[in-house]
Amino acid sequence: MENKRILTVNPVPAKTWYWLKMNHRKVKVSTDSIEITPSVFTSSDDLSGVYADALSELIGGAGAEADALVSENVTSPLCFSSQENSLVRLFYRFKGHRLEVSRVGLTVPEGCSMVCVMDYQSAANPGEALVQTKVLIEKNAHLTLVQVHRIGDSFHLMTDIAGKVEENGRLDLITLVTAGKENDLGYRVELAGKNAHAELSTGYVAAADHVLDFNYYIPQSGKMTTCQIRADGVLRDHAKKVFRGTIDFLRGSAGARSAERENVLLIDDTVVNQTLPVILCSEEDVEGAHGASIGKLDDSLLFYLQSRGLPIPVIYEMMAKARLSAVAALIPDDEFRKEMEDYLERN
Amino acid sequence: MKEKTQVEDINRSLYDFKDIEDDAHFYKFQEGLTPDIVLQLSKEKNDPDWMREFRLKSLEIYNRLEVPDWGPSIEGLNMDEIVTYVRPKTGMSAKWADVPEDIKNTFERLGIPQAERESLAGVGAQYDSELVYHNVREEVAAMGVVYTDLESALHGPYAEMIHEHFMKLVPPTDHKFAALHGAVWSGGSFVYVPPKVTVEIPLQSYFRLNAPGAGQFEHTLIIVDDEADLHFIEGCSAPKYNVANLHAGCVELFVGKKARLRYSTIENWSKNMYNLNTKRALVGEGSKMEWVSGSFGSHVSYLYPMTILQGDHSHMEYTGITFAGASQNLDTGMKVIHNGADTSSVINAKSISKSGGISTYRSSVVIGPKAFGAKSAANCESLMLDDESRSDTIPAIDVRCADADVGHEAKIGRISDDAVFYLMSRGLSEENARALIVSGFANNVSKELPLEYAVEMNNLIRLEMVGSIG
Repeated sequence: MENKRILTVNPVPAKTWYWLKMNHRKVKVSTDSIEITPSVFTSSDDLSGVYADALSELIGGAGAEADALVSENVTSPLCFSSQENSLVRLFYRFKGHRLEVSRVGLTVPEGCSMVCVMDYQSAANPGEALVQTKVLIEKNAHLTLVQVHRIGDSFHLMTDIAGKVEENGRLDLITLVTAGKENDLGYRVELAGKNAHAELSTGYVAAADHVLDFNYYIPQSGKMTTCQIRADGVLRDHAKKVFRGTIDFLRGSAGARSAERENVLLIDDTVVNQTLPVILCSEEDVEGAHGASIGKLDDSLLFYLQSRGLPIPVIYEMMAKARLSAVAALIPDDEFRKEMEDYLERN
Repeated sequence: MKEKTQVEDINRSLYDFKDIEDDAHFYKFQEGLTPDIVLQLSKEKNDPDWMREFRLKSLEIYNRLEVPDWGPSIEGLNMDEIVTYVRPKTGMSAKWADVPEDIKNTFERLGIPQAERESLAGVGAQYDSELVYHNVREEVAAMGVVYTDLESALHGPYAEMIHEHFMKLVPPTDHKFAALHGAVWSGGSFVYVPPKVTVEIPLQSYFRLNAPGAGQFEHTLIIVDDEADLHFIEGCSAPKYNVANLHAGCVELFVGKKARLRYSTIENWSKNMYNLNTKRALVGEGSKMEWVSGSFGSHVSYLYPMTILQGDHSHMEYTGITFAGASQNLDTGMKVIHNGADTSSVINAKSISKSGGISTYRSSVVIGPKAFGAKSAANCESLMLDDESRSDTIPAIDVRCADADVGHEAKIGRISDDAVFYLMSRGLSEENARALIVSGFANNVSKELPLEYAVEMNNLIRLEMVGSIG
């Protein structure tokens, strides 16, 4: 019998009632693990970086237990440091049967920009993977990080992101989740420098008995930092999704402004949707807002589209695809964006 | 010279007077919580057998359950130092004249007899662990409305009804302090409104905890039968001591079909109070439950009225405001569970934090798998008045039915400069503009209260806006 260990992932920074079962997620992972590296494409040869202390100190949204598991398994993190404008593509093709673990470090030095695409696919057989990405965005630097989960229907993927954005830095984090038995995404991005900005755009669809678990945590310690979190998704069949989004205005973040918004389209009565949009605030001069809209399509929109001759199932399919396509359209890497648009069209 | 403009802390002087409780006039248990103390209380109360067993079972559950770790710290609360039962050496009366002078004076100062004369259909007044006064207007009683203390009702014609409902909505297994309540409850009211009876003016219970180091564990059980209508008001206060006091009351509300119940609370416990209260309502088909809540007092509060919309087409409205000042950590909010089809809920919550106070809005909206057509709209606003304070919002949403429409909006911020500028452009001074904005922020709660209580609430949030902005 395969040995499993229990891992607590995606802990919410401010707990609430336990009966809701939203404070964290417990997952079973194999004790048989292996370090893996992805296939790499880079826009120039000289993008290698180091796994500096500034990266290793960062803890991601998946939490301390996931971080420890990665540290146990990974001896040589894959690290990149951007030049002026750099492109990195990392293609993960998981083989399954064992827990596959990987760690990536990305540093975007002052004034530079980088686009990094991380594409996750797997074989049809069961398996598990944990990929951790640590990100340091220095002064006036810009990183666009694209995460695409399109694993097999028997696969469990955990992605953990730990980031820090310094003065006038910017992180665009684009996430698409289109398939997979279980997907756990834990993102923690600290907006540490003045005017640091993060924009998290997520599109997802979950069907069958699949589980999606998000934990986004944005502590803002820098003055006039800004953040936008947007998640748009579709749930059908017996799918279950938990979305935790936390904006944390720490003392000293005067002038900070942030907002999060989640829109979830529920197609079947057998889905489970849980949302925990949290704002923590210990600074007076800030503005935080969150909103959520959950349920079926708006009646007036439905009526309009029906009046144009579209049957209801087609309308729901169209709206589902639109949510993913809108996020895919944000991908700045033309070649990969085209690939994703074709993929979404086919599936 | 500019004068500093400020929003003052809650003015609690009205409530902060103490009566000395000597052994000649008061009887109290020793501190702590043991099976012997629970049995002693049960004997004191002349409990029926089932209630004695219930208390002992609850104590077992209390000892088994953990202290919650998700909310404000309650490390300062030591149950070994809490007196669970304090009784004035007097019986309950239906006439203010028969109430002992010092206790009567307390309620006179709080304005309860005057309120009864002018605007209430009935009043219950609890002092420490016991009700000392209970009365209902003759014309209301003539309609069949029962408003009495819960303990005597346990031995009267409604004993079976109470047995059927007591701690069925809030079982002792719900959480540690529900179990504590089940073990040591005393005092509280029983209200029954028969079918098709509308009680035009409100009933009120007022709870005063005077003894230092004591706990108050009153139980309120209200049954509003089909097509009936009631407004119930609850008020509470205590003087401030240097030792911890505990309030772990329980409110259970049963609303029949096509009925309406409004439950209003102005809570102004002193700042040494741990307010760990539990309130819950079960709402039948086509009925409406309304909560109006003002939380101003306590050192620590855990307070989340819960509504179970069980019947189809049932509806809930929650309107609440929390004001957390210096040394206060107030964790308040609400919970609603939509079980019936076409149920709806509207939540409007506000909070103000100042002088290092911590205010947390915590909620859960659950749409069950059979709640087809359920709708829920929540709006939560928090105002930070300085940078020493803290304000958090932790709303959870759990939807298990596609045919639902759930919306949630929340905002945290300070007084808007734009709003101040706009009002100044209309001729208001800056200080008046700010005063108007803060008053307006609390207005949605005060307008839901009867006038007398709205005035009391506005007195609690006394705004002192003098001179120009510092």
